[in-house]
Amino acid sequence: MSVARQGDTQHAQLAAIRRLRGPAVPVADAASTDGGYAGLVTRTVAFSIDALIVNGAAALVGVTVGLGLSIMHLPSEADAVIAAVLGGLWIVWTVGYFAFFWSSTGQTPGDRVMRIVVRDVHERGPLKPRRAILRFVAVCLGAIPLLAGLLMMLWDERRRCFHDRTARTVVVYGPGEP
Amino acid sequence: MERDARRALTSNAERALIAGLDAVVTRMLEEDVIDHVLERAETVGVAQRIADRILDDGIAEQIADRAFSGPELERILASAFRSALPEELIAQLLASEAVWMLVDEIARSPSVTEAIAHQGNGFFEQVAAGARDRSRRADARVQRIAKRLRPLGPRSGEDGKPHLGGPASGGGPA
Repeated sequence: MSVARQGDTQHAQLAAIRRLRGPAVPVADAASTDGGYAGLVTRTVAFSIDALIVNGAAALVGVTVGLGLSIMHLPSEADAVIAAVLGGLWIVWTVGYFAFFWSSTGQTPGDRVMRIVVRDVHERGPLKPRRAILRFVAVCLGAIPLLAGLLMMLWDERRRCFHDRTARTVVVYGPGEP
Repeated sequence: MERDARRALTSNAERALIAGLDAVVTRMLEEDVIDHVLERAETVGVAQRIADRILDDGIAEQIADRAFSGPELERILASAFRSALPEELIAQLLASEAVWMLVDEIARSPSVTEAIAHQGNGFFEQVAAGARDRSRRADARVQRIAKRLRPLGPRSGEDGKPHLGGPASGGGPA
């Protein structure tokens, strides 16, 4: 009787652990989590590549629009409005870029080059779009106090930055990495 | 006296023979005898038989071996390259539209484009792999320096290995 109760208890415990851990990890994801947490330099390089892509595309569009507008004779007040609109578009583009990749594959192009993946701590998959946006906002906030929010990963056991803690994410080396 | 007479006779006979041959050849040329002979040879297939014989007996190989092993071919080629022939040949090739069509066709062929793309990807992947290796080493170095700077000293479990989520791993938001 007591043995049966002990078995039931174990089953219940295992079921609870499974529920808390979430669904089973796919093979590829499991492999990707074996490489360790991505470090500061790798993440900085990946972010630099992304920044280059985002700002390069924005600069290209800006120059094209600027050249187009220079043909027209617009009043000086219009310049300020256009600049504000373009600035707003740049913010939307930047947030959208990171939020899209973090919430779809968990890898921005820069992350893909450096073979690192952003993972949800609990669900072990890509983030939800809202969490991805939150993560990006936290990146900006963490960078304000002399990058302290980013450098804190050096003393975190799972190499988490401020935005990782805020959005409950970790960044791990992806598949194929030792 | 007799010897002189014999010599004169021989000389006259040679002259008469040459004159006769000359007359025969002239007559053959005038009457298109050679053309008839060649036509006849063509009809019978003499040229084909000769060619077959040369090829069957390995004479062609012997000729080729001799030509390639001897210095004659080198001299001929050297003289051909010294002449205006190569420039003329290249100029004619470049002027030919067929050549450009051929180049275009080759450039558009899937195997060539695939090979070019593969080479480009391979180069990019090589560069990226190098960057990844270096950044991984730099990660470890920076982490070691950070640990040394930490006033409390390293804690256990700071090996950079992941243990995602779950109560067993002590995961969850900070």
